[in-house]
Amino acid sequence: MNPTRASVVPSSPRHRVLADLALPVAVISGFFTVCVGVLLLINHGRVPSQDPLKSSVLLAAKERLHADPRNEALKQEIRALDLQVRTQFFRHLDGNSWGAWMLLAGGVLFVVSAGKVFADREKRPFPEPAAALGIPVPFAGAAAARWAVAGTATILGFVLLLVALASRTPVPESPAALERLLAGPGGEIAPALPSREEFLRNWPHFRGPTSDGVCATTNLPSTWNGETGEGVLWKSPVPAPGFNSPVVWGDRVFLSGGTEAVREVFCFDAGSGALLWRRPVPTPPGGSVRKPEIPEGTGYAASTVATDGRRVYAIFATGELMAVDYSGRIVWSKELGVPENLYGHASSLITWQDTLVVQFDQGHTPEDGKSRLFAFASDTGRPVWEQKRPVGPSWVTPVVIEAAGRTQLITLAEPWVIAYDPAQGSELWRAQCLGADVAPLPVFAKGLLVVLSPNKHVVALRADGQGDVTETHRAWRYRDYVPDIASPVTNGELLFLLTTDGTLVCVDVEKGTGLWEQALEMEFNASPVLAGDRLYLISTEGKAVLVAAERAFRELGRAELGEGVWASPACLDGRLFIRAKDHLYCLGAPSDHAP
Amino acid sequence: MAAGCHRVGGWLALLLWLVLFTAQAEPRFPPPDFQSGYEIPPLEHPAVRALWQQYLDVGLLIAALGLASYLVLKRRSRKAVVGLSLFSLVYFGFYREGCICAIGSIQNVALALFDASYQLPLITLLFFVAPLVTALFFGRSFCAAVCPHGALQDLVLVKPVSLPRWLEQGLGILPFVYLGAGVLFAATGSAFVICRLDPFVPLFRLSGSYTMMLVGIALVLVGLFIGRPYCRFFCPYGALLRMASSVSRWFVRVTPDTCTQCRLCENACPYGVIRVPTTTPVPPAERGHERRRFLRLGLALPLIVGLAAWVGVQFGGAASRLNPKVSLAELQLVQQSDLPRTNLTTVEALALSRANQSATTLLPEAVGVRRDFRLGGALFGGWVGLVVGLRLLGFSFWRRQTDYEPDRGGCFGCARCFRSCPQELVRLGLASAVQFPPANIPSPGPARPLAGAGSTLPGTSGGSPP
Repeated sequence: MNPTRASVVPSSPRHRVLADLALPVAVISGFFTVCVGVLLLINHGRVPSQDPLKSSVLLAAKERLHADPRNEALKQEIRALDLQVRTQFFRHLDGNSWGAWMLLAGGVLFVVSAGKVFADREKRPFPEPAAALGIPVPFAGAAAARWAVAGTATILGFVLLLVALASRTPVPESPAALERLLAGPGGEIAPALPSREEFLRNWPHFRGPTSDGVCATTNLPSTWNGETGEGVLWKSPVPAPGFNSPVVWGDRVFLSGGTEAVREVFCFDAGSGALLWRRPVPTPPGGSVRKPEIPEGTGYAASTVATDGRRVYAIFATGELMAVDYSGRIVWSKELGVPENLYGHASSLITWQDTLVVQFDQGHTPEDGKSRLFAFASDTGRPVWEQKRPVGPSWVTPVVIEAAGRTQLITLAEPWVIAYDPAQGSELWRAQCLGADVAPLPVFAKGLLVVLSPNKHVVALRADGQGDVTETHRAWRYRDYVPDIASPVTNGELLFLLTTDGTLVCVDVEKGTGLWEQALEMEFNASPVLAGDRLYLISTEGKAVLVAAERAFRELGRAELGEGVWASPACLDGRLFIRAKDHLYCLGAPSDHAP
Repeated sequence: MAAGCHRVGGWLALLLWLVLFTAQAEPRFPPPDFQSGYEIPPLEHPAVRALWQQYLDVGLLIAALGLASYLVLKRRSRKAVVGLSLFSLVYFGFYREGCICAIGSIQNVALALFDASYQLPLITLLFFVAPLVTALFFGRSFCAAVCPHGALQDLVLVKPVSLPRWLEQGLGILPFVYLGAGVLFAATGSAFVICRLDPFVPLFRLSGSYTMMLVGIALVLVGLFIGRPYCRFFCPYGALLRMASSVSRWFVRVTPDTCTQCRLCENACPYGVIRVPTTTPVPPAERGHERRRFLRLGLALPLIVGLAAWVGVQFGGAASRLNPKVSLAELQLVQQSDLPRTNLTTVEALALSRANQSATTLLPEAVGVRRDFRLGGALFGGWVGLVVGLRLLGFSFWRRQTDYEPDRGGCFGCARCFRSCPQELVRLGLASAVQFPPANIPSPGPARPLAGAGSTLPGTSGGSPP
């Protein structure tokens, strides 16, 4: 009998004790490790179900809160629930952590003891003469190894090909393919930035290209009837509510609409009224944005969209901002956060050259320091500049004017009128003359910037100042009738103010003296537009009054739409586009603009 | 085998103590979305490891490499190797959490080579170079007792099971494939996949990807019976070390004395790297047959490489999706199309929203990345084809070898085979020479390749020490 290895290297008594202990320790530690592992697996499976973000109870409570946003008791209940599910969740994570330590300790013990058991039980062969073990044959096993390598390589190749087939990317692989993709189905490359002339020919944002409600066209219709269809070129239902006004570029009319569930941009064919596309705001990272508490009188889509002829830009009361190209594809989108605004965000967007300007005033008082003015690159959404504003909330849209040999971006909000350089965002001048609740846009005529502070006064400022011009650049002040919603309009000589309760006032722009006022016995929210020498005033009941823009009141006619109107009209090429409560109307002479 | 493991109670206590002090990753969780006036605390970033600590890591690495070489080649002590392995596991594994490591440094080096804007940290470069230089002189000392991945697998091996030789050869090409893939993704600036798919780092950290943690646990379980499964069949750095150590100046020998041809070392080696003596003359018919096979495979080699390169190009398209620019561009395209939108709660979607890049700027960059992947995929495929082709060619080599010796490229230097050798026991005075009768040893002859020159092919075996 051959001697064994044990006989060659004798074992000590300590060795034998360890050998006796090894097996029970290995069994116990192995069992312990398996149990801990199974418990960890079970615990891991339970953790996702306790994810606070997916808690059905919590989600249901939040849904109830959406329906009843002022329910303080429900809010407290949600807070308690939130804390409870989080506590539970993190308790499980702690359990996992402890389990991992125990698994590690059990595993180490098992490995050591099992190693000892196997080492002691191993039967060690004793050396034999080589002849007795056989002589290796040349290339023995080479064929099998060759097949194994070839087989592994073949399987690998198939796997890689399968991955290649199953996971294709829509990103083109060559610049030529990219150009085709960018050109779109029709092969049309996105147009370059439109010229200033083209910009002025269209109605690119709220109150038109010059933000003053003055139409480039003078042949607007003078009569229409929504019930009989007289003067109505087309009428299309608007799919979602909103108080924003239409903007028109070429043959396209853009609107936005929104509810708590979805905010969208709509594109209509200006010739036929057909809805060409609608594009909802993309779901943001994290699921959904927080929904603000907004009065019905403002809604989610009070801000008018803006376009630069290449893209249309929209902002909503949720702070969601997006750019959509003319085929309805989202170019970029971002969230500015829900603004703290008592009445809901209503400032509209404007574009200036290749930037999009967003006035984002919020807070309760000017001291809150939460108001901002943003300029984003219109093609990418990249922030170009941002200005912190020392103002409270506002509902007014910024205006770009050319004054004193420079381009000025005029913003209004309590208490400051502030002019900025639209290219850099640097402040040019400011004047303290505004009270709370500023909504009407300013107008610029005869070198004077006319601003309205509702329920306070109308002030004309010379727009050639520097720094704080409060005491130095006020030309005149008018206090008799001050609109709080509708923006004024001017023909350069005369300023027309339209109050919500229906008083139309004419003021001399240069002197600031009232020339006449006329009670129209209607309620107005829509800002008037001026086409040639005619003012178009449209009441909340859809009744229109045409007034001559003269130094004495003269009514030119009336028309009836038959549907409530809160948005300001847009005009282009002899057509008047009016967003009513449920429909978008295009008014004009049928002979010129038959669909 | 596990002889060194059962006396490591003190080491284990130290290990557990250190493990308790390793940082635990806090679970990341969204803050409450319900407004209650709660102020979210500012994001805190872990402090950057001090430079002296980083140099300490390098110093310890180099010292451990030197010590491992000494312990394996000179001291020939399995116990000492186990001790050093435990230290490496605790320090480089659990304390340093497996990062920085030589395995992952491949990607930093690849990125630095292909992206001029990336500055390769000196520390990383040293971690990459030091084990390779050591391998050129002393073999795989890094694998022996310095790499925490290797140490973990080596220490948990309790009952080694031998794998069929053909299976080892077949799976042996995978580290080279993984190496190529890791370089491809790193060089294109797409992802450090070797780090992402590291199965042991989540174990060292007791935190991380659940899937990779399960893979790590599975590898540890497999490693109870199959020695170092990750090192042998996956480790990309191991592929480099295999090539370097196959030409090393000094290398492991089972015995410095005369081999008695007892074959005990074959049983002792859990990694199947002991090469048997090959002194039998090759019959002339078989010699001719192998020569013709060698020529045919040599002629087919360009075809194999070309075919693999074509597969690599196809794969490159799919692989490019791992690149952040391509994935962002995809999200852009999806958002702009009428297709249903993807789940926007993904990390990529967050990246898109933060990237503030429009399609007009992002898409050309993504197209450039795809072009890089086309070229990179071809190179990757070609590399794999070359590895496969050379390995197939290597099987036609027949080298004469007189003793049982470890394959220089494949030997991890675990030192298990030393005490299995009767000559070593005699040399150490643990046994007397009379207990081991001399074997009937055939007369040794010079190494002689059957076809072509001596082989230093990646992954080929059978090379005998000079």
